[in-house]
Amino acid sequence: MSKHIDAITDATLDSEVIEAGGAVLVDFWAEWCGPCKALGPVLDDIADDYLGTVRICKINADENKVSAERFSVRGLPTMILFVDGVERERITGLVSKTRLAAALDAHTEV
Amino acid sequence: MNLRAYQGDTTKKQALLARLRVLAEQESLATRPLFWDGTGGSIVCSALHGDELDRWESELGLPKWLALCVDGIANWMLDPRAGLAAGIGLLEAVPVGEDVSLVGNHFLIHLLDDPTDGLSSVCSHAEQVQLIKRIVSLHRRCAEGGKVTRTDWVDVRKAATALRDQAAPDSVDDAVNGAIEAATWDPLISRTAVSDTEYQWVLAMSEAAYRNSQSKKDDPVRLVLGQLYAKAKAEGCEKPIDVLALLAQQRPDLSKVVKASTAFIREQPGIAWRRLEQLLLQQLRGRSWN
Repeated sequence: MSKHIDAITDATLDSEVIEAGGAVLVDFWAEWCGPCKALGPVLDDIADDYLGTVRICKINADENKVSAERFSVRGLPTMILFVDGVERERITGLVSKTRLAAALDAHTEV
Repeated sequence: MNLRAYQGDTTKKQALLARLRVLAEQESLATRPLFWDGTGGSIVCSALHGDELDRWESELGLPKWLALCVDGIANWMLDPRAGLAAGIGLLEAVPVGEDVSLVGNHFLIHLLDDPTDGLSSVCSHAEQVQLIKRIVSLHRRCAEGGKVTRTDWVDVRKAATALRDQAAPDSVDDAVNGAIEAATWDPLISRTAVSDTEYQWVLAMSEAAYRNSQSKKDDPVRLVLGQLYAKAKAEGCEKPIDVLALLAQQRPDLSKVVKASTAFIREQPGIAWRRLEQLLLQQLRGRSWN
């Protein structure tokens, strides 16, 4: 995992995402989820490209069921983009870097 | 940065391949891309004994995009043993001392616009073909050492995502456009450009092959399935109606067609991945990119 990706938990999601401000992409994943693992290198690449613009966080949905339920995560991987603590975009499934970048650009470009 | 595969050292390459093959034989290689748990992991991380991709370049003289392709093919091939062998095979194909950085651009050009293997061969709209030509021209310029700006890539990316947004979800166009948009990065700057395009190319080519086969023989099957369903319902069937079971009982000839079609769909990704492996091997072994 890229050193530019932060692992978060139920206990830290509020402080790391909701109250942190700015753009934060949260990836809900699980150990058993093949597409989640395949998405890993794409998220690493995105984390490097968007350093300073969008923070990338990962949260294990099995170990942090409160957050998964709170944000109605129904399938994995699910990525939710928060801007200043508000959900702005939700992407599910294995997507290309281009799709992910387009979603981030739509909410972060000035 | 100029790279020199295996730092020009044949012994280094042979030792690496031998080590990876032993790990594969012991079933100690993971198919999860770029995975390292501190003692073992994927092909790439086992080669590095860690997950710092910068060392892939500095110690092995190989471009990062190739690392993603090696672990990617190991992950996506249906048979894990075949996948790991394919990943190791890619490393074997790289000539010692060569800089294969630009093979990424050449390979994407092939996947986009080759008359046989390219996405352009399954396009249904002139707009798709025009966009492919634009993207190919950028990759060609990169491969020839010309200047391509960030704005150039951003522009084609925007055009590609807009084009995909117009396609009907789950259509061949959607799959093809998904692969086109994945190829809108320079592999030397964006390490996932090639592996991402490979995955989307497999989806697109599998979908195109399937739809192409379906268009000729699907309609009579669908018609009969609809008739069987309507008949069962009219007869007051209260259980969930299994139209495929009804088809097998009443029209075994068409049931065979459905089974053959299902088998055809299932085997397409495997066929496409094997084709893709061969294409990348050719590019890595070749000298035309020099």
